[in-house]
Amino acid sequence: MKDFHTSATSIKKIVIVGGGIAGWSVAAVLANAFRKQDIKITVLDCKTTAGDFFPCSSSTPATIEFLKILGISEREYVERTDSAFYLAARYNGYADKRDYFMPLGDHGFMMHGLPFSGYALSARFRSGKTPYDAYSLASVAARQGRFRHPSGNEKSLFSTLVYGFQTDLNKAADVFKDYCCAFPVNQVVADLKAVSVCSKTGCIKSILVTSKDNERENSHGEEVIDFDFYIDCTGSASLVAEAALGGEFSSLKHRLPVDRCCYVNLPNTQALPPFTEILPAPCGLLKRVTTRNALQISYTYDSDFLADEDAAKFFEKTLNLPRENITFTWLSQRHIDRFWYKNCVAIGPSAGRILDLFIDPLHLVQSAALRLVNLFPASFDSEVNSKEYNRLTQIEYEHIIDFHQLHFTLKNNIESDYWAMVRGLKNSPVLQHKLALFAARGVIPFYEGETLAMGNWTSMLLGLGDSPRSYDPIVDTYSSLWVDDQLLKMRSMMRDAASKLPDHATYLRHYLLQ
Amino acid sequence: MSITPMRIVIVGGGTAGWMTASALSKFLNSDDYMITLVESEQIGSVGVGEATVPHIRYFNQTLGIDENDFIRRTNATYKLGIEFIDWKCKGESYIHPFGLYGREINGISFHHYWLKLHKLGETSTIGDYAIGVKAAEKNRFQYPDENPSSLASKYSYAFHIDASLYAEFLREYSEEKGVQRIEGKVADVTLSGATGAIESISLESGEVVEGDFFIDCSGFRALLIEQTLHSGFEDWSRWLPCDRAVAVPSEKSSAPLPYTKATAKDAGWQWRIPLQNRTGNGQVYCSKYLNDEAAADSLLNNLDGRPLADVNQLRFTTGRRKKTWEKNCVAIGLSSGFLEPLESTSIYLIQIAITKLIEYFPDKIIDSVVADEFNREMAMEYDRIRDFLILHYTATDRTDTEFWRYMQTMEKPASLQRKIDLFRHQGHVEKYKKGMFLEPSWVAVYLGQGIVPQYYHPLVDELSVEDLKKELADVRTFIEKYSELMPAHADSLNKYLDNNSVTQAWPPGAMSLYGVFS
Repeated sequence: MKDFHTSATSIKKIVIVGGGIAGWSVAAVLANAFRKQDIKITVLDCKTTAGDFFPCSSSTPATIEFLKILGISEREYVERTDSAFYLAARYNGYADKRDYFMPLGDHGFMMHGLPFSGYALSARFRSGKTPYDAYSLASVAARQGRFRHPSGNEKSLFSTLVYGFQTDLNKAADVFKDYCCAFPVNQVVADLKAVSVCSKTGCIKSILVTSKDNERENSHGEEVIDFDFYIDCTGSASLVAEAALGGEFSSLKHRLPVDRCCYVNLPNTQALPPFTEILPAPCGLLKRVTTRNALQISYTYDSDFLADEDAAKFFEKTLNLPRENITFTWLSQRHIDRFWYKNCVAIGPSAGRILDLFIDPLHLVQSAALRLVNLFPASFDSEVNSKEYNRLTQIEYEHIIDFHQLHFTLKNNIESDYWAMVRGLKNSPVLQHKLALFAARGVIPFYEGETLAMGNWTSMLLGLGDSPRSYDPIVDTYSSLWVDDQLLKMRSMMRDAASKLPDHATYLRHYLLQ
Repeated sequence: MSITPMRIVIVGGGTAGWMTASALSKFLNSDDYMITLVESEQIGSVGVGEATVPHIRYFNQTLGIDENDFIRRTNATYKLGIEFIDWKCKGESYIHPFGLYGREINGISFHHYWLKLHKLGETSTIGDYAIGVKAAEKNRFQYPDENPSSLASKYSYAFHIDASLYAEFLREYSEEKGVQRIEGKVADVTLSGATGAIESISLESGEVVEGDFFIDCSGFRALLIEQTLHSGFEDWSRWLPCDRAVAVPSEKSSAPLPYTKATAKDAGWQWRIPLQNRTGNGQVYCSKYLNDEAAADSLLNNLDGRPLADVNQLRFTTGRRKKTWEKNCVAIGLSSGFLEPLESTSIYLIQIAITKLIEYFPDKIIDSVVADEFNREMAMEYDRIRDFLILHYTATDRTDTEFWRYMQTMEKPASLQRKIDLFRHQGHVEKYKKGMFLEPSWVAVYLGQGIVPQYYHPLVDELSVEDLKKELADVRTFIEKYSELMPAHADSLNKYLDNNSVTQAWPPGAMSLYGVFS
């Protein structure tokens, strides 16, 4: 006998159109949320757009929370997805000649109730040269190739080791898929042929699929299946939200000026750095991710300025990478105007794409899945839910776009037509205000619903940008001798603590044996 | 730091002026900053904020003030929330407590579970799941439990105080820390020809007070921010049309209640604030629907003790300054805007302005973007409170007077309409981190005033009806029993007032309405 409860929601049949990392992530979240009700979840495991995700990705600390919610053991996840940890993103080639390790967490400690950055800035005004990443244990540890899990004790310095994963996304998709197998999630391997939309309500009535399973095939090999709620995870083809429901996309290229990428994914025979790398290149940005088994280098560039052949040459000549392994894909950065419309929510590249930098595309998928559960409709007339969902998603996109735009607009060492063009990019009004306040004072204003913490912004700008004109004057009511002494102590504390940490590869080996 | 100290001039004493003076004198050292406060004994104080919110405990804590000393000096009583009487309809009331309802299950807020039970016909009210509510109803008070996992830790408390005594208390504090007080009335303000910033103020005595930075605590007159710098006013009276108040203290009639009463009237509402020695009363009303005489009569007819003074008259316009920081001047208190004291927001708004001023404290040369950010954040605080106050008036079944008919049908701000739609549909409360009133407060007023969602969150059905009933009964029983064992409010008060008894340490303050141990 089934242990299903009666439920008040009229949504009884949910379909996720598209498997892959987006589809299976969403399916896992819904399967976990609706464990005991008679709500049927189906994954239509159809082809999703190729090349939407790089094979490997560096995922934010939000993934840890995501796994916790699902009850997936982190150790198992790390093991099965070839994951390595990461503590920071190493930026190389921006204004400062030195490289900079931007931690996922924050820097330093508050003193006398004032944020740490003010003290660091006052010291910079006095004597100048200490890089801001010397005040983050995670950064110092990352630079030395060390890692351990953070301490649960909030007072311990080791609690500041905020981390994420460098992960094989195909294997992660398998983890979420297997997770779904433990639930009555129905998997249909078929291709999406057509979507039928009700002309009166504008809602999706049913979908037409071509079954690949010969035994279930009817005479035409086709089947019409109707659901109450549709989640479009078909990838950037956006087969349901755009193609069937007429959602419109707006391009983001004027904010994030790249549209094409190439990458190589090689067996990792080298070291296992607990960091990713981001570097400006002649016509775009390079990112390097290292999992336990793979080394992935991607070059995201502007096709108006760089031909594929020249990108390939750059890989071969400058990076010494074999050109036969290069994969090219288009990256049209854009997002849909209505993420949730009627009885359909687009999640993942079907909703929007932003190039993979400090925030990776998987983050957008997982945060959308959790937001959907939070606003899951109890009825068909769910317009207020969708409005709120769309409002929050829009805010999420805007701030990430702003943050990623910094990767282009912060000064770097490259002189080229491309970078000359980039310098003329316009900032959004919010970004303008943020940068103006930072330039005046070294602080970042708070905005509701923003993904990045104020500490991330401060780190990025203090690490890679110009120094602000001034800082909190109240800092100067404490003697500069005292402040300098505190900062010195903090730095040596970070250094000592880092030197006590195990080497990342060794730690990982032991961790996986547990 | 520069060699000559920065000169900060606060214009106006009162609650706002002295709160600002004490906080600045605490955070700014006297070598680098010189703080002067100009006030006149001839100008009375409005004495706002007799009822406070828990954030004041955090303010006192950062100043290093002994809470029990504060209670003694300000004739304070404890406050667990506000009872709203006759707001939904005549004869119905609810308490908006400083605390949470029940506890979250499966990541879904408690009120969704209550809602299901309610739809199944159970009669318990949401208030039965809040300690603050039950304790208030039983006239009891006790500090919240220190164990953060206990339901008994999920509430907080504030005070009813004599605001003029609080100002006196803080004046002593400030003067001890080196704030210089000048007695006198401002006669003139001199602006810099080059920048338009304030250079000095001249007093009627002829004395000239120069400053680098000015803080306008002059109350409704907004002497600097409006009369001098013409910051502009955003008028909200189409949403909050009450524009007058009458106030009078009365004799204490019984043991003080640990909560404020706000009773809806024909064209406004009446407050009742119990102090140790007297009761504060007042009626806020809309002059379009009620004349001053009738308002005073209505107030006097609704006292539960003999009046102790003549009725005091106040006039105001609800709204806020377009910019509360302009040039080298910040407005704090009533000079920055006015919202009726329905949810005891005045002292909070003073406190948050002081906090942000310290956060963005300027150098002698002021970057306008810093002022922009201060103004953006203050506007956000004001706007969110505005929406919350309007909700009290518009979520009502009352149609018995023209005033209430107007309230029920007027067009609400879009930001409020959106919030109400969201809740009415499926019990979802719009989430934000910054702001005075968060989810539990919105739930209190929505449900207390009859906005019952059509649906609850679908995840509630993950719990079987039997488990749901048991879970909620457990919470209810715990709260009922726990509040029953709490000491009477008057006994708690006497215990902490008694100089000779061993002073028990009070729980820490927090910038939260809902708890002391986060």
